[in-house]
Amino acid sequence: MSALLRVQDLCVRFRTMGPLKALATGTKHPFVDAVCGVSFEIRKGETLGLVGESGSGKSTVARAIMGLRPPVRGSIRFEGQELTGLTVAERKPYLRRMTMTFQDPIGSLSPRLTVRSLLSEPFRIHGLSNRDAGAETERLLRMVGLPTDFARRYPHQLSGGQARRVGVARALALNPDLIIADEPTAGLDVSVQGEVLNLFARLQDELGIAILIITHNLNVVRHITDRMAIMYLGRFVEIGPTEQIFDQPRHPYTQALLSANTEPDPDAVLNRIEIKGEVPSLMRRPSGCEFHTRCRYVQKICSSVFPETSVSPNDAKHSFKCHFPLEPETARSLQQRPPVPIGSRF
Amino acid sequence: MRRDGTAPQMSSLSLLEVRGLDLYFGTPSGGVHALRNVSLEVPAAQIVGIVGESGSGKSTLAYTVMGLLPENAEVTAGAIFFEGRNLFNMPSSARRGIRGDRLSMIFQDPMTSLNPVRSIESQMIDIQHHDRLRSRREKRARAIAMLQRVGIPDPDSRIGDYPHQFSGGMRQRICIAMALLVEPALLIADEPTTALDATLEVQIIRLLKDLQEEIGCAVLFVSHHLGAVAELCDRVAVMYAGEVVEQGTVRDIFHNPAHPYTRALLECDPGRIRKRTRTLPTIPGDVPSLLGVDGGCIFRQRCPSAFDRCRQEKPVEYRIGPEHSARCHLLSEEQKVSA
Amino acid sequence: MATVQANRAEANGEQGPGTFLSFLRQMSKNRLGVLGALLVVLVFASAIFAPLIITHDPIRIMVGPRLAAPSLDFLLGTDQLGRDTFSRIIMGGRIPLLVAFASLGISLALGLVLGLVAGFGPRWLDNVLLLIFDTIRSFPSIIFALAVIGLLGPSVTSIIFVIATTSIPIYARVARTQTEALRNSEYIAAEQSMGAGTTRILAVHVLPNVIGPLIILVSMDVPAVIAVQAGLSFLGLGVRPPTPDWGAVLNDGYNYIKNTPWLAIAGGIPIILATLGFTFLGEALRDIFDPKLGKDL
Repeated sequence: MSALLRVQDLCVRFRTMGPLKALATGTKHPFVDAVCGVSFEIRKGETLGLVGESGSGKSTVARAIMGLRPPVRGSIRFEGQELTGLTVAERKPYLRRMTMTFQDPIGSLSPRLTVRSLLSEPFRIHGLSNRDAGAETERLLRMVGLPTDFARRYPHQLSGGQARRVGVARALALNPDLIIADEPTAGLDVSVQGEVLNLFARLQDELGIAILIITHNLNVVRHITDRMAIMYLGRFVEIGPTEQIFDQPRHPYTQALLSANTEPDPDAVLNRIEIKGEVPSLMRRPSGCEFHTRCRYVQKICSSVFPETSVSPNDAKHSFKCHFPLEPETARSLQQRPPVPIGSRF
Repeated sequence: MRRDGTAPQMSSLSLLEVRGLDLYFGTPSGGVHALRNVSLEVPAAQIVGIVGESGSGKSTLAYTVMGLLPENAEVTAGAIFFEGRNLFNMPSSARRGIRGDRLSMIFQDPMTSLNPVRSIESQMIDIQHHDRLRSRREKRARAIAMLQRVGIPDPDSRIGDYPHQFSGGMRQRICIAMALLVEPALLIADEPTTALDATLEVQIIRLLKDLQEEIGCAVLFVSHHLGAVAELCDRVAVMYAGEVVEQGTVRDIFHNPAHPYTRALLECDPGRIRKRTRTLPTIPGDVPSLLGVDGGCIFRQRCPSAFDRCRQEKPVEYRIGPEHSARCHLLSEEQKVSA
Repeated sequence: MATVQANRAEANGEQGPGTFLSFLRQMSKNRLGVLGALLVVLVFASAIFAPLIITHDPIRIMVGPRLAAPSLDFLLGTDQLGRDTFSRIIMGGRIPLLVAFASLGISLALGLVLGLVAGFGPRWLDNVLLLIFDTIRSFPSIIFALAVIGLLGPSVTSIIFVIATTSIPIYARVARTQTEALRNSEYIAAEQSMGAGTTRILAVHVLPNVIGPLIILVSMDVPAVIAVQAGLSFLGLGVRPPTPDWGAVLNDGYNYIKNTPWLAIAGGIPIILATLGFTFLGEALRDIFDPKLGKDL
């Protein structure tokens, strides 16, 4: 099957200071590369997870795809059509077919609009105001499992979980082929997170939508994604089938990230791979392999030579950037034992 | 305030004891009953976790102990004993004297507790103002040693820096250093890892645990993150909509949860679900409004095992183990069966 | 603190932002606000229905004795030309209100547009506009007023021009700051990601969130403008005699304050009532719609 969305060598650059200040301080390169040479593709009906810590550039990838942040280099193709360099008007037809939900469940809804107005926004923007707004609102609210009388509410009268559902309903309004979900569980309680993830899973089963999920929470990607990519300092360090990465991470950063997952079990004997230090600043990218400053397996070559992308011998879809990838045995030793079952008092 | 004799008897040695605390927030639409009959104890040199979702009152409880409530809050019943003295009967000067000396706090956002226009050095020397014996130089040396201990690289030269010159994780480390510099008897930590990435979170948890063992203080750790609580705490109190629904040792709570809410919460945590699934467990329904709370069990609308009695009567605290108790009518039924 | 705030939000969240009933309920609790609203209604009604209220022609000279004390015929006495003070005051409210609403209306409209453009447009345009705003604001407004009136002559139009020109930068700056804060909010990004154009975003999603604080500002500026207009009239830089006007009545009274104090008192009372009324109303609006704006505005 051909790719629905194909991103190649995407680079997004931010200015760190104004041109005058750069001149005054003698800064030759007043930019940081928030996203650097990112390539991936999403097929129809597939779910890809983009995982990374704050500052890894994962949200910037999403914003670049949606045209909110122009890339300096690289190509973004939707069904073969190049999207970079298009004007807002030229891009508009594609924004019907791919939509995005944002991090803040309530803050991403226009505060003075009712749910009904919010849900008819996409129709009005795309000149489809002849549709029956009332009927469409009801259809969308039902689709995300909210009572239809919510149509009269304002965003601040919704709980986080309800607001998130409204955001998803809005993204679904024009029957898109791809939804980009930026931190879909951010700001939600544990008891509601599952609801939202289940909603995405159900929509995908029913409507065959492709989903790009962006999150720092590994537990989110585990259950819902087919493939996942791990970002560090704006680059993909590893990408592959989700289950395989959870079972056999090849990049030491992935391994550390997986083991940083705290367990709701006081007796979980974790042989945790704690990584030292913090994510370096984008303004001072380390030389060679950018993870070498924090890597426990660091060798001499790592600090000078940038690792090329290697492909797993078992699976051509699993690739990573590391001079000394973890052997499957090392990786497997990390596999945590099954959790102690919750006592069966009731 | 405990209405039955089955609850665990409190030892008179507990460092902090909250007894039957009731608290309202005055709002234009009426009083929000934010804490209801909350009892909790923190023994010396132990880490007690308060876990709950948003609106559970866990942060309010921490702020009440610290005496940092907003103006519209009113405590209508209960007492808080700290080192044997009731904090509510104390003159405010005495309460201020305890804060920053016997009692210190770290926050979710380190920036709220660091003064942005003063250097770390002056803030860390100032915080030792209760200490009248040491000279300024000694205080500075202690500050540097503490920064070193919490993992600030090169503290000798960085102590003169300002808060914005440090990253989020480093700021939280500095806050921990400041809070522990005064060697408090109790450290209150309100969601200290929530704003941090997972890899930093585990670093901070480890640091807190190590430092607590070294200094021997008690910690009241407030978090919505079950994994962090399980890893760090000795005892856990589970809060829901302003009530402590269950408390016990960390193993009681995580291995043998007695309250349906605790069980549901644990089941929801995707961290413990290993097998790939497309349908994750949830707790259907919403947290009830705390305006005008009625007499029944607060969790009954969302509880899978609710029955008639749950609507009519508020459950008392039932004792399950030596240190384990929960507020659920099912426990009394069970006791009747077993008795 | 998150929980504490959540509780408050929950409690405040009972009312939607647009429900008129809840506004009335909150307004009725604010006693000064109710008083202010009554005074404002009184001032407006008297200006609108002035021709029906007046007892004598406010312009005709010597309808009665000069500088007469209040009597049943002349409720507030007469001035030095024998004109009925009560009638002059009732008619005299029309010009201050016209000046206040025309000048502030123009300032609000232009300030809003310029503020939106500065806050949402390209960076260089923002810088240029800010420079212009600050230049105008740094000019002493009294000198500016005297210069304009000297150039155009004393008239209602010149006063409106002066007040509008000096207030536009203030409103534009407030609108710009609000717009810029909203520009980076997630819901604007969400609208952009759906393909909404800039005009639509500004009109539907930015304007309604920016206009509230501006209207509060305007309502609190009305008394200041009334006072400025009266002041200019008092100095003889307002409307030409014999047009009735509060400032002019006050000026007449001032000249004869030693023998007939009631003329000055009668001239001052409407200014005080109108100023207090608009101030109380403005503060009440601020407290209800935007408590965050604080007391210092």
